[in-house]
Amino acid sequence: MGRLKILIALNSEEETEALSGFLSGHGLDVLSAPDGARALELAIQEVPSVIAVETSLPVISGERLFHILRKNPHTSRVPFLFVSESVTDIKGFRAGMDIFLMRPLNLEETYARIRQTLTGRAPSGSKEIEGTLSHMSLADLLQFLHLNRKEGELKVTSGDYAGTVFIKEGSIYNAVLGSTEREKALFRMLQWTEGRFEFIPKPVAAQKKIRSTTGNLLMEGMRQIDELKSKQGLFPSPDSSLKLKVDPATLPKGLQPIIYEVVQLVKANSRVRDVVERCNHPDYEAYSTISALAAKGVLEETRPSGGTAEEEFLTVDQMISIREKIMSRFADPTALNYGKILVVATSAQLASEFIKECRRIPGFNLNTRSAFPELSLVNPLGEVGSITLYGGMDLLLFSIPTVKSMGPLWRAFSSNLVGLVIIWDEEGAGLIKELAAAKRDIILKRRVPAVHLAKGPVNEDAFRKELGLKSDEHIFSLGTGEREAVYEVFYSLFGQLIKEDYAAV
Amino acid sequence: MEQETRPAIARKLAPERFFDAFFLNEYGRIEANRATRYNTSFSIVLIDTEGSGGASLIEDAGGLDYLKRLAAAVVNTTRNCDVAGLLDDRRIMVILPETDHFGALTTIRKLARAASALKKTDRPGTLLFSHATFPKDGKDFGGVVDSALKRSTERKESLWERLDLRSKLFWEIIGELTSANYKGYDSSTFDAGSGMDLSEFFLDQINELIIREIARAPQRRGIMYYGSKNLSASLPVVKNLGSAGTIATKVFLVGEGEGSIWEVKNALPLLLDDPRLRETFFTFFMNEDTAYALVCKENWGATFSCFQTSDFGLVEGLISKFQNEYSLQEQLG
Repeated sequence: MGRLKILIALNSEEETEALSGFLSGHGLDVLSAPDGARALELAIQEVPSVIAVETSLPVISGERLFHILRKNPHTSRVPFLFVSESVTDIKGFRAGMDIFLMRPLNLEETYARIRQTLTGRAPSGSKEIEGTLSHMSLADLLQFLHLNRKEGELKVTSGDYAGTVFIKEGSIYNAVLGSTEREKALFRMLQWTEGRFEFIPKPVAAQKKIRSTTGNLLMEGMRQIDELKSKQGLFPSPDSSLKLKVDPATLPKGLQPIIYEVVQLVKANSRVRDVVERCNHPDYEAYSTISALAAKGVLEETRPSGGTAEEEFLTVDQMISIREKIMSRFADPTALNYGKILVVATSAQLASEFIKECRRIPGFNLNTRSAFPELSLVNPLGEVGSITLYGGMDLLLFSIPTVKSMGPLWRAFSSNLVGLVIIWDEEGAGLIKELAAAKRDIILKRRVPAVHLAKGPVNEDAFRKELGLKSDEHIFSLGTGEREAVYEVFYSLFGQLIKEDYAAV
Repeated sequence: MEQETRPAIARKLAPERFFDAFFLNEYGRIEANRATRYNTSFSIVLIDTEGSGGASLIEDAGGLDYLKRLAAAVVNTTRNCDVAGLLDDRRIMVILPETDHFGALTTIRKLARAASALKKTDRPGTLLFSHATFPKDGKDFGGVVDSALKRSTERKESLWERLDLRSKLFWEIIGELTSANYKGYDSSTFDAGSGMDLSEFFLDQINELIIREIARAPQRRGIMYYGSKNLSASLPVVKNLGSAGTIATKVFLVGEGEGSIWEVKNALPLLLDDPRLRETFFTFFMNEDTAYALVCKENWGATFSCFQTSDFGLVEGLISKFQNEYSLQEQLG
């Protein structure tokens, strides 16, 4: 940000001096005016970047000054910072641009708000270049920006996808597309032939994550795109399943990092599509590595069977019903993009085991963190997986510790709650009271259906009594290894959700 | 004292704009119909005069006098379109048309300030404020009132009221909370750090998850203060904020920091030079659905004494204290 000018017109001289000194110390040029008339004169002469005024200024009030300067084409875009003793309704206040602060003023906060409004305006500044990808390909555009040593953000959209390329002095610093970044994101965007782009010149603070020069990067990207297209038939199908045939610990050291990454990902994800998606390397490299590992016998590929009927977890109608039910639960339309299912268990291993079983569900997305026991088993806290319903609504499986001292987390992370999965085994019999208390506390606050799972032989009657289960409430078995078993758990949960009147939260 | 009916008492308290329970219920029902018809919201605020331990005010002349002044303060503080009245022997209700959750919270702050300016009585009880919003907290007026009454009960049980934290300073409260031992579902203490069952990573994980919760519902309004001794762009919280899209929750990063912190997306840095922030870090998060606070005090040997709570009254009180004592803008979302 260059040298900015701020005009201050406050009633209190002391406050003006304090604010002026503070802002000057942060590199802003400060002009001050004792009344509204002088402020008007200075504003027109100097055209400051921000005008900080008292609402009740002498001669011309702050609000009147605001209305006068808004009508002047030279000053109409200057943000105002209003300072007042109490809440005042200012006609024409531009939310997101103007600032309203009540006394007492905290200098740090005032400065931060000024900075925010100034940087917030940058994106609405002129877009230097914009157009469609059908007229100019992304590769050509990046070369053009490189040759002109431009700095800013290149936003590219195609259909529902939107990505950003960060450019500094013509070099590509990073690219972000959804949850992917670096070369992987860039190479995916390079394939787009339809869509729009806009380049917004602005200082780029992004970390440099792409090391190659722009020329080499684009050459490599185009090569990989061509190779991926030509070898599509030779690579494993995205819907194939992968299985490890060797113990990852026996892999020799010193191999390419992508090999270890793919092997770790296969531990957590069975489908080729999921492994490629979660791999940090570009798609072509991920497919090549999977193909090579399958050829060497490290991985085994199982092609998807012909019939899709047995793969189907939920029909479209069922998904719509569940989605509608979840939507009816929440009056807040902004919260409708996801529902949460809490997983509470007497041990982290049980929660982890349940999540692994859930991998049998087609379309289940496993959070990679939960695949690594060293992280998830110590603190079973966080999003462990998700199922996407029709219409883009995600059902998140969220694991949470059961111990009483973590009670505040149950409530903190139970917004949009739609269900509860409760798991125990004989080893966790000592913790059953805590599990029951967790269930009671959560259901008391958020009325949701619950399903119960037990692993191995358990004293069913004692557990039923402790958890308040009726005799007709089913206890599912964990660890049967059958896909249908985990399907049944979710069918039961969704069935209760749809059948019962859970609309009142 | 001569027994009078509640409508008569209500009329005497503030004759022009103070109503009885019948009018409040009828008006509330109409307001609910109107809000449903025009797809808008409205809120109610309950003021429980019995508070935590006080007695009913309408039983003696002194109490009635206090109630009268309180009713006048309520009427003067609220807008012309708001409807206030006596709901029962001890509760005042204010119906706030076209007001959401945050508007109701702001009204509560104004009412609390106006009430605290009234001349003190010899009564031990404090005023308890609670609120509920249509349609989020209830599908009809009765549902909204039920929610507000439930919150009023929760408020009574809140640590904020039980420990009378209102009268203490922010850092006194922090010291008290981190040094005590709580094992409740709403509030609990635990130790974390090297050699403990829970590592420092767990604390980062909680903060990261809060940011993800915020990013998951980007249009949901709320407020978060994250206080740390060393703010930098490499903090997990800051990284997560940077990768999130535009969010409606106001996030403030509080502490000492380096220049790069100014460039953080979705957050406003408040660089405060306070030695107490060097040994204590905190997270206060509140939106209309959730409230959570985590306060960790660093001990010798990279271990932390932590306090966490999902008690709405306590989290709101902590945010309010922090804003007041550091002269920050009073805002809740």
